[in-house]
Order: sequence, then structure tokens, then C-alpha cells
Amino acid sequence: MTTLQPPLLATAILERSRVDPVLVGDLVEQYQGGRSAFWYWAQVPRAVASAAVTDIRRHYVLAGRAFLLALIAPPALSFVIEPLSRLGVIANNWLLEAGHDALRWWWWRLQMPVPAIDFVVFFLVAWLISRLHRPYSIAMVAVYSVWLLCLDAKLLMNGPIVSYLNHLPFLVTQSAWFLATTVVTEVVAVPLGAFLGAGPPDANPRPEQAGRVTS
Amino acid sequence: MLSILRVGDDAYGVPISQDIERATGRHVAVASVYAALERLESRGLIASKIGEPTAARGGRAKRYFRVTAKGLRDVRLVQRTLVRMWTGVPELHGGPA
Repeated sequence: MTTLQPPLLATAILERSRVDPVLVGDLVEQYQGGRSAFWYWAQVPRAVASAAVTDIRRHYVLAGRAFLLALIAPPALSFVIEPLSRLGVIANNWLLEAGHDALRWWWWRLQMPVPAIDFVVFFLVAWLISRLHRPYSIAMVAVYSVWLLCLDAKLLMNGPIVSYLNHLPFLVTQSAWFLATTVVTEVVAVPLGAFLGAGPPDANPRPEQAGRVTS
Repeated sequence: MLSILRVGDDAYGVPISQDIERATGRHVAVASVYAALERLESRGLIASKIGEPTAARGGRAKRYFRVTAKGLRDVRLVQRTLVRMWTGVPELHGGPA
């Protein structure tokens, strides 16, 4: 008899997020008992979110430290931002001189190299928070994500005001493009940094999950 | 807590979730069940112990739950309160709607 293996990537996300192995075991057992891959995947964000909320509640001092890091790390990363900005100017001048008008339009539309710089900064901050807060990495990066969401909400609120003042529909304004590229880079860079910084699941096991018995 | 009592000695995440699904007719997220169990445990209403890891679960252990004496007292108290509140409602006993 062969044993049905649940989706590997979903299990890897659960393990890297340090979701309680007991809960992961229950999900695996239910999958092997006939639940679908869709059901298994649907449990992943709930399990990760639930574990993050529990960790933030239990370790609010660490969460405060993660928030502080989210505030001070981006300005401290100026040594990354400056060379990337210079590269952006060089690339823009090259596109102009070489006559690549279509590419240059996209370059201007996407406000390059801002998304590239954003990507590097989001990735590095998420990686740093994740690396410094093992084994509670994902929960602490969640604190950073909530902070980013607040900043995005501010952008979203400013956008319509700018579009109203310029008499342009919001979706064609640079604000809308800026918001879209920011959100896309966040969605890719933050989880990537978080999971790479969290390290392998066997490293740094949670003290509270090691053979807990309350009876 | 009622599900833990109903399932009995084999009360771990899977049978508890399945019992809640059977009783409510709705799908429940296993993570939500564990969040509720953690809260009950922190209030001393239930207790848990880790079982042996099994190959069927990829080498992961089960966590068995049981209702504590304090939890059982609370369940009885809630039952008595609910019974008192349900009595004397004429609409629920075929009386005038």
C-alpha cells in the first residue's frame, strides 16, 4: 500500500513557518484520509496566520523589537539604495541613447529603478527580521507585513486625492502604478526573505513545543 | 469541550475536528480548532499530553486532550444555565408564535 503524500510545497511552508508539528500531523492525516489537495492548501494560510497570532501574543517584546527593526532597517540600508539608484540612471541614459523608446516607456511607467530598490529593501528587511527572531520568524515578519500594509493604505488614500487634483482617473495616475508595483514587490520579496531567513525547520526548535504535557 | 467528552480517550485534533463538523454541518479549519483548544487549556478547562510519533503522520506526534475537573464543572454549569433559559419560552413549546 502506498501512502498519499500531501503537497510538498504546502508542507514545507507549514514547517518553515514553525506551525505546531502536531497540527501539521493532523493535516497530513486528514489528507491521507481522503481530503483534497485544495483543502490541504486552504488550511495552510489559516495555520500560518493562527501560529503567527499566537506567537505575537506570547512574545510581544520580540514583536516590539521586530517592529523597531522594521522602522530603522530601511534607512540603514541606504548603502544598497544609492548604488541601485545610480545603476537606474545609467540604464535610463542608455535606453535614451540607444533609442529603445518602447522599453524606455515601460521603464518610466514602472518608475524604475524604484520597484527594484523596493524589492531589495523589502527582501533584506524581511530576511533580517526573520533571521534575528528564530524560531518565531514568520510571526515577527508578519508584524513587518502589517506595518507595510499600513503604509500601503496611506498610499491608497493619497492616490485618489492626487488623481482628483490632476483631473485624471485614479487607475491611470502614477500613484496607482506606484501602489501596484509596491504591492507586487512586497508580496514576492517579503515571504521570500521571511522563508529564507527562517532557516530549516529542524534548526532552533520552539521550546514550548518540545514534549509539552499539561496534565 | 463537548466534542472532547464525546470522542473520549482518543480525543486529538482529527476526531475533534470531525466531531465538530458532524455536529455543526460546517467545515472547520483545524487551526481554528487548535486556537480554541489553546485558549481552553490556558484557562485550565482542558489538559493535553503528547502521544508517540507515528509514521502515518510523517513522524509527527498526536496531542491528546481531556477535560479537567474544572472544565467538567463549567460544562455542567453552562448546561444548567441553558436549560433554565430555554424553559418558559412558549414559542418553543408549540405555543402561540
